[in-house]
Amino acid sequence: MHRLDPRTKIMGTFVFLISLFLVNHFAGFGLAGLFLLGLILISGVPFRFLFRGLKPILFLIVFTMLINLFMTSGTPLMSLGPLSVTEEGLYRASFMALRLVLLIFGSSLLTLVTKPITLTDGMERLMSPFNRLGLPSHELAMMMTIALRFIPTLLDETDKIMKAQTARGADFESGNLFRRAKGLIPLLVPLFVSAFRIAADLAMAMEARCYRGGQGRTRMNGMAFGKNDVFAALILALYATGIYCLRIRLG
Amino acid sequence: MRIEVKDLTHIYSEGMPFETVALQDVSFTVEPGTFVGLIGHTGSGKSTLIQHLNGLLKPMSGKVLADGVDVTEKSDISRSLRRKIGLVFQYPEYQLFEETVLKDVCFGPKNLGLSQEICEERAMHALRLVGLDAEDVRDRSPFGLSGGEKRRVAIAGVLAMDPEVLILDEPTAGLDPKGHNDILNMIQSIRQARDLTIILVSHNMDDVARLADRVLVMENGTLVMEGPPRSIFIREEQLRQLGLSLPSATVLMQLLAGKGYPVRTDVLTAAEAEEEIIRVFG
Repeated sequence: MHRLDPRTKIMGTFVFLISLFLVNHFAGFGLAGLFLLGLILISGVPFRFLFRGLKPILFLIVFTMLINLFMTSGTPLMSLGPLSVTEEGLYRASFMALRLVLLIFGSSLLTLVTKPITLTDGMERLMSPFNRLGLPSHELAMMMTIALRFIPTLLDETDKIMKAQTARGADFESGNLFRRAKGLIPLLVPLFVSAFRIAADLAMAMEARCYRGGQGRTRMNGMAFGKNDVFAALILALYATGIYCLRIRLG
Repeated sequence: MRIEVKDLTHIYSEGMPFETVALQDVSFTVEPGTFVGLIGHTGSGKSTLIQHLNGLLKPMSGKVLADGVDVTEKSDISRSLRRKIGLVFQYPEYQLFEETVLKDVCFGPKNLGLSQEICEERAMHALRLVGLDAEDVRDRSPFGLSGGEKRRVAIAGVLAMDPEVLILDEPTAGLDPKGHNDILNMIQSIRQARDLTIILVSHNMDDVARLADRVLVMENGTLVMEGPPRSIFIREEQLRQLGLSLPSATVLMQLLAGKGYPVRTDVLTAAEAEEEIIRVFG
């Protein structure tokens, strides 16, 4: 799974995400969940990595659940003052939460089994048919690659500057919102200066290696669909058909 | 100020696959007024060590005491002690951010809660200490200065906080020979003017041999040698194994001794080498 062609993986994730929106019954989620569970087991990615991806949007999930729980009208199950929980609300809330969790798991699985560079390469190839319509697919992919590449660099830089300013008595943690925002100036100004310096250096280094955009550029590691990709596509098609049938039968 | 480091241990990303032991049971004492040279190859734990000295990093175990008080505590005493320990990072010019040089140097003292006048007074004094024409430079943008000047401004920014201990992490990295010498001479004159304790992290053995009273040698997160430079730089074999070299004057004397000339080989600086050569050949 780690070695599948990135295009297969991206398209696969795409199909999976769309399938989650087609599902209109719990049985559909059952199938999707089983499918995903199988993929996770094959990939060998530990579950705790997947749960870590869930953390940042936990708030969103809980919020959606609460809204759906209380705001859906229907047969009341119990009520607490003006708020009442309805049968339909409970159904919708758990439905939404399941959908969100599966969405996150599905897309984090893609990033966990694909190197970022391969991922952007795959996107570039998938977007390349739109070149004729004026979409600069190579440039977009290159921008993404560079942005991803420099996240750790900039984090490092932030850490260094933060420490240096702390050593000069700067305080990033206390005070009200306004004071805190003002306290960020000694961090942000040097960070921007550094970012521009790094960008200029990178541009220089790229030009020194004769980079001039995507036109006529060839690749060192070409992409090719293999037997495994065909196999994966077949499984995917089977899964999609399953979801579609469930939708028609139960919907 | 007397700094005591006791059994200091620090581990980065503990419990993760990338876990690395950066410091392991490091202990030493820096007496007030000494000039300490801290050497060791890249990744030996020098930077991690100095960040502990003013409480930027918290030790996993062990203690850093300044005049007997733990610097990592949250009390007011230990905070005020931390402020007496000035830390100049590598490439400090990247921390400049204000519109004018004066404002930037004032940033530190202002954070100490001093009045505008005292801040400016201190800033001007610090700018003069680092050898800049304070009157000329005060209203210029720090981003318009040369690399060496920027670095001086950044060092002035730390000096303006009036530290008792000044820690410098490779203050001459990336400077040309003149800038290099200027910065070192500046450090020496500041030390004399302020009676500071100085800890200098350096890869340049000549500088360490010339300036330091004591030398600490780090390897793989542990302190492997400690002592006056003369007792350190005669252990050539051991230093080589650690990936470190000898001061060039010492190397010269060893070459001469190897050719059979009766010169002393415990010479550390160019001036001492000159004396010794005149003594033997003069």
